Amino acid sequence: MNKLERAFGNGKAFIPFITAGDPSLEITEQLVYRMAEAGADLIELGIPFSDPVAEGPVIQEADCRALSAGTTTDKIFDMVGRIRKSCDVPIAFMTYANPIFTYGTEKFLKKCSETGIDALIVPDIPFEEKEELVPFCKEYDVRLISMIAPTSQERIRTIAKEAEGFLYCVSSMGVTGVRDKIGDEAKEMIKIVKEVKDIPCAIGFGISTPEQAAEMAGSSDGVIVGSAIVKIIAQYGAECIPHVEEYVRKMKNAIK
Amino acid sequence: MSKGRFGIHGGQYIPELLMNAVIELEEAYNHFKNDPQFIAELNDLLKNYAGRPSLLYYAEKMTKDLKGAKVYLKREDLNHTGSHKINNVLGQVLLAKRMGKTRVIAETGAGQHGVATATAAALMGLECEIFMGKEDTERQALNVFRMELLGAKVHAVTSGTQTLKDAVNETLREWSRRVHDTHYVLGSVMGPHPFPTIVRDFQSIISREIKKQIIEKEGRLPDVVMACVGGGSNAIGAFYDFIEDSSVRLIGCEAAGQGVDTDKHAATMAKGTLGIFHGMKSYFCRMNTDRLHRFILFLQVLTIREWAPNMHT
Repeated sequence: MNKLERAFGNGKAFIPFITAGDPSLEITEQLVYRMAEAGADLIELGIPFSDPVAEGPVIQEADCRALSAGTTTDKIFDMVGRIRKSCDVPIAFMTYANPIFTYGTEKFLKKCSETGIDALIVPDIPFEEKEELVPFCKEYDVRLISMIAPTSQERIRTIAKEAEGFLYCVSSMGVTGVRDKIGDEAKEMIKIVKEVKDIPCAIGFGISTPEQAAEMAGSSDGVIVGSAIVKIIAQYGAECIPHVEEYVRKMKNAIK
Repeated sequence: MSKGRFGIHGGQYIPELLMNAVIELEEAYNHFKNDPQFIAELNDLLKNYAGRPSLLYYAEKMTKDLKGAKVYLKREDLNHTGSHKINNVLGQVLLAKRMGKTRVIAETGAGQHGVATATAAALMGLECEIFMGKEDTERQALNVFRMELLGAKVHAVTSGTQTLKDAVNETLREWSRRVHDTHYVLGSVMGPHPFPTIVRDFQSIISREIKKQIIEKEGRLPDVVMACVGGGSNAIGAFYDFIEDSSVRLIGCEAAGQGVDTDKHAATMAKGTLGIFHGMKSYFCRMNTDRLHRFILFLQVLTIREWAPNMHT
């Protein structure tokens, strides 16, 4: 049973991102429990990749730390299996086409389904290439999340029509990372989406403060925060858990 | 199946943020490649600026020394900026200018593509920034100096392995920050569609010239065309016009490094496995499933091999 739809049933969704295995899979597992308790509606787990072209320096470094610590896709699946024994927070994997393809796309999606992964976000699989994953996602009941960006323009309608789960709206130009200011582009994009399809829209890229989150939540169904959390993990290392928990609670409260 | 496929190779595996940029590029390229004024301007630049046609030189001593085939060298090194890179760069920078872009960015490994891009940008009055692995900027300091002298800003890339593949990542990231005024001048037959096609077309002048020159000199087609294969632009350039000539063997040579049986080589054709990287599906060398430790490919050479089974690698 896919749990993704539930993520948008508790007011505006707060969606934290962390890189699996940064600084270790043990910490990642604890972070999932504590973020879920603190109000995370959906947790994005990054499968680390050596060449993440959509990421800014903060998440690139997290990927390096996780890979150096010996994190592998199989170990991440094992961790998710452990998490699912006691925690049913919706979880999405965020990774790139290559780690999935080289693992074996069908084997990967089968494992997602077996371990209880609800959705998949793959920034380098645009609309044109989604057939790479769609048949397997359908077969194994994993939602493939589509992304739209400020450059999408007339593509927004095309993408929205076929979107499922929720739409990931990239707030502004560039790669992931904390931004001082976020413009209104996402708001405009979401208006167009809602004309075409009734699907939750979450805004990501650049959000770090409760004020930004509240503002973005005002025009969407949820906010995604990655780099700001990964920064806390980088700062506190193995001691990061209470700090991340506090941050997630603060952010969820800001958008309620 | 998406656009820009060569067999199973190719595609457009890039973030949504860049999709409209490659669509716009494809439309502009399809328009301008048939535009007589664009063609005339490019041909003029190739002749009067780059110095084409490059010479086909009969290497008499090498021929005697090797005691086999008559060896001719296609002297791409004699082009302005010292390599074949200028062929593609003049085409792409001219295209960027016609598209209304005011800035070009490019990756470079040893620096030849960066120098060519900086040169063409200076010639046509566009802003230019080059991304180069930090390790490469140290190994090739002279080329960094040349690029800076030409007015380009050179970024030493410190992410990942600090070499060419990371320079490509960083150029893609920079492009996603400023797609509206910036064109990415890709230098190899790689990346998302339409780049492999564009690079192939602009480099194919090498093989068209070879064919004409060898017929003038020998009155026949060559038995073999041989090229080194890194990112594939020089190889596809030298091979392209001979693909339909089944009597011509096309031989690509890959770098064996410390040996193809070690993990320190760049023999993508011989040893690579299928992956998705830098915007395309193709063969790559990698250490394990999560880390691509060296990218080298020649997408279209693979297609050539399918057409011409006599190609050796």
